[in-house]
Amino acid sequence: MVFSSLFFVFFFLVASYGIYFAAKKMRTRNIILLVSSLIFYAWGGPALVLLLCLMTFVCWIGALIVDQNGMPGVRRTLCGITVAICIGILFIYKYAGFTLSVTYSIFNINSVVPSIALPIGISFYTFQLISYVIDVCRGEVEAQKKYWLLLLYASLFHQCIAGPIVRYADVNDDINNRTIKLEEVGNGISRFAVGLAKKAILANGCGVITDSIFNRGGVMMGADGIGELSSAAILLASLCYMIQLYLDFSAYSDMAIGMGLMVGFHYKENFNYPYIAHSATNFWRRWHMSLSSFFRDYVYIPMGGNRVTVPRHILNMFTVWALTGIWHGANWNYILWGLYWFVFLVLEKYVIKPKADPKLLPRLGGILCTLIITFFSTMLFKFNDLKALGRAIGNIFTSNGNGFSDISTQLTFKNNVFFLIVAVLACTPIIPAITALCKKNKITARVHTAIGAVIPAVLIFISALALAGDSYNPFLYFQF
Amino acid sequence: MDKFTEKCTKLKIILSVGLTLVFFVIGLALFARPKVSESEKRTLTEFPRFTLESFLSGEYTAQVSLWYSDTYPLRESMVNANFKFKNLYGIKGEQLLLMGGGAASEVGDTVGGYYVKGNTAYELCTATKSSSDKYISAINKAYSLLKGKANVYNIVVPLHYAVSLSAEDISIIKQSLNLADNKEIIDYIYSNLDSGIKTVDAYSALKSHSNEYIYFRTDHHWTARGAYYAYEKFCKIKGISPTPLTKYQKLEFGGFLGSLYKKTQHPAALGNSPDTVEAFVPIGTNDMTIHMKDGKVRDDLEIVCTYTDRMYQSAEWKYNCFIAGDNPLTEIHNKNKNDGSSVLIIKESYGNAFIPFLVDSYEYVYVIDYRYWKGTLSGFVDEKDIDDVIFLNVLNATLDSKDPAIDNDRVDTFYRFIK
Repeated sequence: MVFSSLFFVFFFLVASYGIYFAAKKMRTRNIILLVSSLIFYAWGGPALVLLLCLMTFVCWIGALIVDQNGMPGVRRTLCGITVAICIGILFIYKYAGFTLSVTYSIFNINSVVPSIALPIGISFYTFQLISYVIDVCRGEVEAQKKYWLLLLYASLFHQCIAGPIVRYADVNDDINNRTIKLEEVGNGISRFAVGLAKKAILANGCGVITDSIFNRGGVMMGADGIGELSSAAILLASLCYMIQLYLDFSAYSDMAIGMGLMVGFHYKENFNYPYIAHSATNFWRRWHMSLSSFFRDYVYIPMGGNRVTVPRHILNMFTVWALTGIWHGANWNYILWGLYWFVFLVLEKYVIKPKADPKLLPRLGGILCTLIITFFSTMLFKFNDLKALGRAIGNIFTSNGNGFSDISTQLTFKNNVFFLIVAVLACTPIIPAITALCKKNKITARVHTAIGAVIPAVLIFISALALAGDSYNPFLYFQF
Repeated sequence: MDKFTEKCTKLKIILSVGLTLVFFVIGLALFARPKVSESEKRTLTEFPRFTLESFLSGEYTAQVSLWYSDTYPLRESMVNANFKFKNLYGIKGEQLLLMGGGAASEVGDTVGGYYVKGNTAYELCTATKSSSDKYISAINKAYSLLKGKANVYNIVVPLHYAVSLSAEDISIIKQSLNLADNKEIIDYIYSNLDSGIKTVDAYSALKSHSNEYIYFRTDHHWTARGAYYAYEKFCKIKGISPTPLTKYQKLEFGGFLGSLYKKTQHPAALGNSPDTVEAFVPIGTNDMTIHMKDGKVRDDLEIVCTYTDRMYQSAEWKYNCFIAGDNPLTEIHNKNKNDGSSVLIIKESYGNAFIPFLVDSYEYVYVIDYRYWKGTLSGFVDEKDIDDVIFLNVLNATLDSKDPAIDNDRVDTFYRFIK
C-alpha cells in the first residue's frame, strides 16, 4: 500500500483512525495501531510481516538480556551480536545479490545471481531496531518489556516504509502516554494534506516530465538514446528529477509526521529545505536528517568522530559516506553518490572552510554552488547505467551536433511553466516566510488562519483527482 | 490558542475530515462501481479471487488496491476534472509529446509521439523504409497466391502530418524526432511490389486536397471525404468512373473526440472544438451482414449508421458509424448491380471510411479485418470467386518495429493471414 493512493487515504486511513478514535483506552488504541500497521505492512506481502516480527523479536530479546547485564564488556558483546544479526538479515535481502555479482565478475565466474525480492521498508525498520538496541546498551533507554509494544515501534505504519527513522527514546513516552490535542490534530491534518498534495500533484507531475524526456516505451533509455538528447532536454529532465526526489521523499515524511500528530505522536523533522543549503555540510543538516543523525550517533562518533587525527577523521567520514551511499541502494551508482558527497564534505572541512552562518552575498553564492553540486549528485542517483550517465553529462556541456535545445523540450517547458514555478517554490520556505509575515499584523494573522482552515480540504480534493488518474490507461486499437 | 484560532482549527478538522468521509462513503458504494471504461475502451480491474498463493505473493492485495482506484465510482469525472486542472500547468497550445513515460507503445506501432498545434493533433511516426520490408513481402506473397485468380490492388494511406504539416513544422519537429518521410516510404513500398500489383497513389490524391477536411483533428483516422479522394484514385487505376461525391446523401455527426484527444491528455484546444463526422450513404444499398468477434452474425446494422447520435452517443465512438467498427468479416450485396462483380478489401480501421464508396462499384463487397478474421486469404478468394482484392493499410500498419521492447503483432498478424 502506498500513502498516495485512493485506497490508503480514503479507505485504510479512515477505517483505522475511525476505529482508533472510537476506542478510549490507551492500551486498546495501541493494539489498534499495531494491528493496522501489521495489516498495512502485510498488504505488500504477508510473508514479509514474519521477517519484521522476527527481527523485532531478536532485538526484543537482545535488548532485554543486555539490560539485565551489568558488565559493560558483556553488554557491548551481546549488543554487537544482536546488531550483527539484524545487519546480517538486511545484508542477505538487500546486498547479497549485488555482492555476489561483483564477486563473480572479479573472479570471472559465470553463475547466475539469485534475485531476492527486497522486503519493503527493511532499510528503515532495521535501522530503527538497531538504534533501539544500541540505545539500551548505552543506558539511554530502558528495554521494552512487552514484545508487542516494541513491535508497534518498529512497524508503525506512519514511518515503517519510508521514514523518518524514529528513535525509540523519542516515541517511548508517546507510546505510553499520549493525549489528543485539538491544535495537534489540526496541525497534523494540515501537514498530511500538504504532504499528500506535494506527492500526488507536484512530485508525480515532475516525474511525468522527467520520464517524457528520459523514457521510451515505459523504461529509461540506455546510453544510445540518452546520447541523442539535447542539452536543454537533459537539463530539464534532470532538474525535474532533482525536484521530484526532494518533494517525493519529504512528502512521505510530511504525511508520516502529520498522521502521527493526529494521534499524538511527535516525530522529529526529516527535511529542512535542503535546496536552500549554502554548503554541502549545511545540505546534510537539512536532507534526510534522521539518516545522517543515525550514522553520526552509531558509526561516526563511536569511531572517534572528529576528535582524532586528520587521516583518521577522513577515514571516519569515508566510512559514513560509503555507508550512506550503499544504504540507498545496492548498486555502484549509489556508492559513487555517497563518495561524491564525501569528497565535497572533506574539501569543505579542510580546504574551503565555508562559514557556518554566512552573510547575504556569500550565502547566495554558497546556495548556487551547493545547488550545482546537488544537481550532479542527483544525476548520479538517477542513472543506474554509468555509461548513460557519462553521455548525459557530456551532452550538457557539448551540443553533440544537436543544438542546445529542441522543439520538444521547449514546448514541454512552455506547457508546464506554471507548474514548474510552483514546484520550485515548494522547495523553498516560502510558506513559513509568508506565515511569519502575516503573523506581524492582527488582521493578516486572522486572514492567514482562516485560509489555513480551508486549504487542507482543497489539497485533499485536488490530490484525489490526481490519484484517480493514476490508473488511467487508454488502450485504443484492439479491444472494442 | 485564542478563540478565533480554535474556531478555525475546528473548521479545518470538520472540512478535511468531512471531505475524506465523503470519499470514504462513495468508495464503499460497491453497487456504483463501473465494470468497463467507455473512454479507455477496456474492462476495468476486477475484484480478485482469493487464493492462498496469490495472497502470500502479495498479488491479491495489490489487485484489491488497483480494483479500488480503477473502479472508484466517480473515477471518470475525477479523471476528467484532473485533465482540466492540468490544463492550468502552463501555456498550452502547441505540444510535442514524445512516446515516453507511461505512454507505452501500442502493439505494432512505430508511433513516435503526438504533435498538437492549434486545434489539431497529429500522430507522428518514426521509421525507416526498411521497416516496411516484411509488409512488402506479405503483399508479394499474396499476389503470388492470387495471380490469375484475382486482381491485386495496394493502397497505402499516409498519415495526417505528412499531408498537412508545412515543411517548416516538419523540420522543427525533426529536431526532436526522426520523423518518417511518408512519401519516401510509400514510394519504396510500391517500387518493391511485383509489377502485376496495381498500386494507388493515395498520397498525391490527399495532398492535392490537403486544405479540405480530409483527416480528423482529434482522431488518428482520415475522414470519409479523405477516403473518397483515395477511392477516386482507385477508380482511375481500375478504369471505372467514381460516383460523384455530391450524389450521395450526406449525414453529419458532431461532437466527436477521438483517440488523439485522449492520447494528448485532453487538451482544452481540442476539447473545445470537436470533430464532425461527415458520412456519405451508399446508394445501391445500406445493408450489410457482419460476422462479429464473438461468432454472432448480424444483418440488422447499416453500412453507414444513419442514427449515430443514438447508437454511438459517446464522444469517442462516432467513427464507428462506418460499417459498425471493426469486425472480422462484413458482407455487402448491392442488388442494384447484377454483373457478379466482387471485391475483397483487407484492412484495419482506416478502411472503414473507404468501404461505403465501393458499394456502388461492385455487386458484392467483402471486408476482412485481418486482425480478427481466422480464415486464410486464398481460401476465401476461391470460395467467393473474388475479382478484385484490395489491401488498404495506413502507413504505420505497414511498418515493423525493430525495437524489441515493442511487441509488433500487427505486421506479423498480417503476414500470417496471407496464406
